[in-house]
Amino acid sequence: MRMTFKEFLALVKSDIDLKKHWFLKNDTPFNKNVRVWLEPGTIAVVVYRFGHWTNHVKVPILKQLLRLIYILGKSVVVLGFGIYIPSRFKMGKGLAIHNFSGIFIPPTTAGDNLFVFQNVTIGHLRGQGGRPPKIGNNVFLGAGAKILGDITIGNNVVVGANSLVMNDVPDGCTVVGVPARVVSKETTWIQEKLDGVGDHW
Amino acid sequence: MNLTADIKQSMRIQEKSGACGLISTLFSSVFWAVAVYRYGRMIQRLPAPLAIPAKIAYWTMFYLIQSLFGISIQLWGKIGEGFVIVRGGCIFIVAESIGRQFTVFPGVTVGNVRGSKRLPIIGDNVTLEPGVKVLGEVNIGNNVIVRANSLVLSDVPDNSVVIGNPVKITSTSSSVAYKPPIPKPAHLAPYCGPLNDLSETDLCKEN
Repeated sequence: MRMTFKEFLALVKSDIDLKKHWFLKNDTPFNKNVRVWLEPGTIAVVVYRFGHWTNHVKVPILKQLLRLIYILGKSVVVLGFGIYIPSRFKMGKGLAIHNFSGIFIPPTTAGDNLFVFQNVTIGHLRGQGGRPPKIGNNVFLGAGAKILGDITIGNNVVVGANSLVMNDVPDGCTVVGVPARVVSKETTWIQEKLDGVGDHW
Repeated sequence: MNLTADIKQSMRIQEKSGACGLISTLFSSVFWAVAVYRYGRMIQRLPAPLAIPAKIAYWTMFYLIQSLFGISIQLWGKIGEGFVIVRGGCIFIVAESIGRQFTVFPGVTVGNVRGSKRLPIIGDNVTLEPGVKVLGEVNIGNNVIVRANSLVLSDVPDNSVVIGNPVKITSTSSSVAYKPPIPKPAHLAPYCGPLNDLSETDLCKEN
């Protein structure tokens, strides 16, 4: 699987568009073009996308140089903002990190459009062979949510703030609580908001 | 002045008095976050020529504190005097208004949630323990303790202790609700137990 520089730029553009669309409501030119780049979450996402791209570079010396730049950027993100995303984490387009601090994401796979808030941990549990959770499309992880164990999160899933998820979550569910309980089985607002249908704020 | 009250309350919570308490307060990272918030509120009413350099200084300090200490307190709502952060890290506060003697611990988020029309309103003498999330159109009364890792999505009445995800009220007659112990004379050993136990005793009722 190769990944060209153009694809890397397209992925970064999808992330920025998602962030603008969801988290910056008053679209002044300053917010759109300057403020979005000052967000720690945006910087972390760009550094992660860059690191993921450097994994695919084949030219020997160029690759080591790019990795060095990536490691410098990553140390700023990890030490300064407390956001840890390894470059082996695989996902489609659209990763939006709102706020920062205490975010840990393991090298797992995720679909398109993942929304991550502060204090979100995705991780494996002891005794399950170190397999982290798999995440589907259009997933919304609220502040302080913990997704642990060898589980699968479906598409269009909303995890409420401070929830602890240790079991599989089927498509279209909203889960809340410690441990998480399903409170709604027809969650469509993420897809509707992405399509621009209806007013959900 | 608000900042003086913040320093006094911080010394009271740390149980340190005099120069020792003053130094340990002024040299802590969390105090600077509070100081920058107070400074940002102060310069909001300045006339235009003075406001521009003051605001540039404010935003520089705000971003530094955000990235170094992980504390982000936005200027939207007023926070009353006696605002204390007990250790920093992952603190996000944007509220409609917050009363006096507000104490927060690491990992606290006060903010909006999808579909909410306004931000939370918090009363006097409220303590949010580590990891608490207060989200959406919530009114929290006076003298309230929210226990660690709770999720507050509904109103909380006065004088209560709440816990859980989402919260349940465990006590409504708590007249104390985190009144920190008063500073003791230097020859007594420091009190090491839970902070609110001492407040049940006669010692604290005098205060």
